[in-house]
Amino acid sequence: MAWFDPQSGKPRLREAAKTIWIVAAFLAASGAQAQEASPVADLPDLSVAPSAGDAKDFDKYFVFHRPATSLDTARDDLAECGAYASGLTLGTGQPQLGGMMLAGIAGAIASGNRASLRRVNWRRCMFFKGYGRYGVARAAWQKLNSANTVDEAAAHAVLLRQAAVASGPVPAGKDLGE
Amino acid sequence: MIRTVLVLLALVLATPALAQDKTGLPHQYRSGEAVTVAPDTAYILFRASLIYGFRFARIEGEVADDVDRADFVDVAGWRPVEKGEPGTYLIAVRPGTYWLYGEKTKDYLEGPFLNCLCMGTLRFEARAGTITDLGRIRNLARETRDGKRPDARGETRVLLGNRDIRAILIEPATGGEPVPAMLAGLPRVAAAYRAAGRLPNVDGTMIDRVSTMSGVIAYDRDRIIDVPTGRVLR
Repeated sequence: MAWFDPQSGKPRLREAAKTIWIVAAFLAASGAQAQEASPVADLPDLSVAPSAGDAKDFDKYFVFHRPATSLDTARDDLAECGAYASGLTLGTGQPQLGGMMLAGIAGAIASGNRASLRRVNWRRCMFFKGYGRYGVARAAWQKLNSANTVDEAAAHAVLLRQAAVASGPVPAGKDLGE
Repeated sequence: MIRTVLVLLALVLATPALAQDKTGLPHQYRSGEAVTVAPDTAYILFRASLIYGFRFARIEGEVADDVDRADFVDVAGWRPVEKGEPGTYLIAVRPGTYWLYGEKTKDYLEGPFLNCLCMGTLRFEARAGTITDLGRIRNLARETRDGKRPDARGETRVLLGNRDIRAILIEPATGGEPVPAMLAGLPRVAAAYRAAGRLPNVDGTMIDRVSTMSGVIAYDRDRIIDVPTGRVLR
């Protein structure tokens, strides 16, 4: 594709315009992709207080926030507390024979409590670090944590999104504490 | 009913026996068992009520990252050397520095079996040839039913959301505490507590930190302060 006529040397405006349009479209697409890939883009709007009906689930759906905290600090704090909230076990961790049998029973009965325990450790650790905890609507929480998968990169993206909230504007509502 | 039976079975069977070394240590004394103080052995004495058990970890130095299960000393709460309010516990251990690792909880079927003092705890020296008296280990969460009533001393405490007073509170020995008759006349010293840093959550259980102790341990957010020196422990 030549922008100039080889014989007359005059510019081929139509071809040039076509090329410019393709480049512009490519750049726009790239920009869109870059925006999609940015973990802190499109965060949920937390400036509006959640409804009273959402409050019953605030022990599950919440975000952390601390004033005058940088994104990097919030990220590191969330990662540290996340480590306390992962790899959790129920039982002694090293049961004897009877313990192993009972640990199995206990595990079956109490497997649902692992998520609850994870939240306790997560909340407690962040509370010690001075972060406030703010209840959010389930939809907002899901939007914030939407990429929460076993994929390491996706999990890191969620961490950054949480850190952006923790270090960003104060969410609406009151600090629920530990 | 089945649930109750399971809980009782869990408490009895799943309580790990003390992993003893060749010298038979650690050894938790039973009621009525004769006690003699050996010159090469250390002894830990404490009083407690409303606990299902307690774990100590033998850790030298200031960093606990490499703590091994072999360093744990687990004390069964249902086996005091003398019953009472509080009960008295005695364990023979290898001499060394011990960290308060955490309390065993009742929630074997419902949650973690330990409440790890992972984010701030205390340590003390257990010297050979003497009984180190830790004073009293209180479980304020159980005393107050998670803050629903005054504690055993009649104090009303709100635990949730309290950065300084947590579930586990240590009242150090002053030297004047009564001891069971079987221990009278045996060498005994009050534990000299020091602040200790973070512990790894070896069993992946619930985490917490010990309550502040005047002149010993304080907190600045999640930073653990060794009060006498003002140092921040990691």
